[in-house]
Amino acid sequence: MILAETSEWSYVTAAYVIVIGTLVAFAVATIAAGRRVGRQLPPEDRRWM
Amino acid sequence: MSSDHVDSTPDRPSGDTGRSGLLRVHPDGTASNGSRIFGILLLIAIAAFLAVALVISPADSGPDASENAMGDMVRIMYVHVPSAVACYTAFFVTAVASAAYLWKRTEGWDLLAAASAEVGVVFTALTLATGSIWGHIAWGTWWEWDARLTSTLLMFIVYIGYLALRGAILDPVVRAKRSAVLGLVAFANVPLVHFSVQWWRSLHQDPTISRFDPTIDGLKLFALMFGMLLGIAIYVWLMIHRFRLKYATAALESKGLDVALAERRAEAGADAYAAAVKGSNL
Amino acid sequence: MSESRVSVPNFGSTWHDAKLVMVKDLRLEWRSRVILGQVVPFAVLVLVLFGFALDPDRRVLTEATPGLFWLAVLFSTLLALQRAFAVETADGVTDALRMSGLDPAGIFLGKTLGIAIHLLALEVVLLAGVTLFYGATPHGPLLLVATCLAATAGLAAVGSIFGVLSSSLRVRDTLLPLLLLPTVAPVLIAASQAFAAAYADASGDGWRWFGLLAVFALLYLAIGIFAFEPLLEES
Repeated sequence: MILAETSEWSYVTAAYVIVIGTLVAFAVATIAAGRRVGRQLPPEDRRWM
Repeated sequence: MSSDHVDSTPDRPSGDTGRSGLLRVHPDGTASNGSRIFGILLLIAIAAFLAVALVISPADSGPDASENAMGDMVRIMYVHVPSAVACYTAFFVTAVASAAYLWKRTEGWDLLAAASAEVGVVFTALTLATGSIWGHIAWGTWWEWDARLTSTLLMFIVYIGYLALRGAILDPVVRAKRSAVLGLVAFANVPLVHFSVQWWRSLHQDPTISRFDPTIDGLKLFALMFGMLLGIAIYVWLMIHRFRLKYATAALESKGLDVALAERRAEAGADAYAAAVKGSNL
Repeated sequence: MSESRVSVPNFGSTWHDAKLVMVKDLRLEWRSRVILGQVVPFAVLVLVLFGFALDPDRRVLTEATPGLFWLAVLFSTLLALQRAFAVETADGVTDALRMSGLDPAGIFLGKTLGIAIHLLALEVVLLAGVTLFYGATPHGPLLLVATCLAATAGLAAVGSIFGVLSSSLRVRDTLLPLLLLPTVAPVLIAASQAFAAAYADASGDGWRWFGLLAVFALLYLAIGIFAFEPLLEES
């Protein structure tokens, strides 16, 4: 029973790590790409600012 | 954690950089004041969600649990279902924006469709991964030919194709027209695939076996609802930033400066490849 | 331009244009004989390879006949489409079609009809093939024919939408299967099940699958009729 619970928690942890990790990595990549592109763009073209 | 030079990104824990810089927007980036505040609120909400989903809410067991009691595995539902909701929302937005593009023919709708599809593909991958983990316990296999899981997998592949099509066309107008048509076709196809797989499966087995949904109430229901709202909010935040990134990229491309191209070539190998493709394609 | 986009197609001229395009494609095939001389032999080869992969044991092959038949059709559809749209781009025929003032819906219907006729010919050969190699004697001829017609209409409609969608791209040959195969998954499922019902002499179960195929075909014919105009512009 204890063994089953430990393995349940390892599945749960894996699921949460995958979800949070992927979303954070995607967000970081998006922001980094945004800065790389934004740097080449004159400020008047960044209309969301 | 290495940080960029001026301030923290909204997806990092807030203690990362100076107190004064928390709300300051990076001058080059795709953030605005609004999206920065939105991002910080999201981080707080994510922390609260994790507390509710992993600690506060009870496991699906005990005397009042249903016969399909999942124990702690029910917690996977709190990220699986929200991912699914977010990916369907994203592709729905892509379809609406595609239709709007074909009607209005303005660049913004095309960029919206693209940004939404990119975020949607990420959420679809998460839906499949968590669904597979869930299935490993619920069904005893990593994959079951369940109608929802199978149609989500096919949808995933079609939208990868959608992004591939966008990547393959360099003329922005041609790209917008063709991907708008594909954005509509891909979404129209989802119910067809779903129903055909459902009928197909119902021939071979009792559908209740593949519908192993625990009954959820109380705090568990709250965790699920919280997760769904948070999933859609995260989708919106990501989509806003993808949209601004696309907008900036399009603005840069429309300048058509060889100087910019040379800079980009120097900066990233992938961009150099895109420039090479531009020379030979279309 | 905006008025031409919303103009209700004049069915007489649409049909006339469709016939022109179809006759052009069939004549092209008659001269080059690529479908007849290469795609049909390829489809038969696929049937033989399935035999190698599964078993010489006829029982397995006979049981799997409906699915294998439609898989062979799908793979051959890809080749036929790549052929149909390679001809267009190589000779600038798409440009010519666009400039010709033909109705886009007519061009779509003509291409779809041309592809459908090629596929139907292919299916006749494949049906003979599975009877010969797998020992699957056809039953329920009405359901078989109806399934072939509906599935082929759906395949050809999706095929010409995606064919023109990916035309003149360098990555066309790899992109087309990636887009087409998941989209036509319902056709593979429904047509295989309808065939299975027909071969098992239980046609009653097969007709609802035929219904699904018909819905699929009508949906994509409608999408193609309305979507071909933006696809042809400046493509």
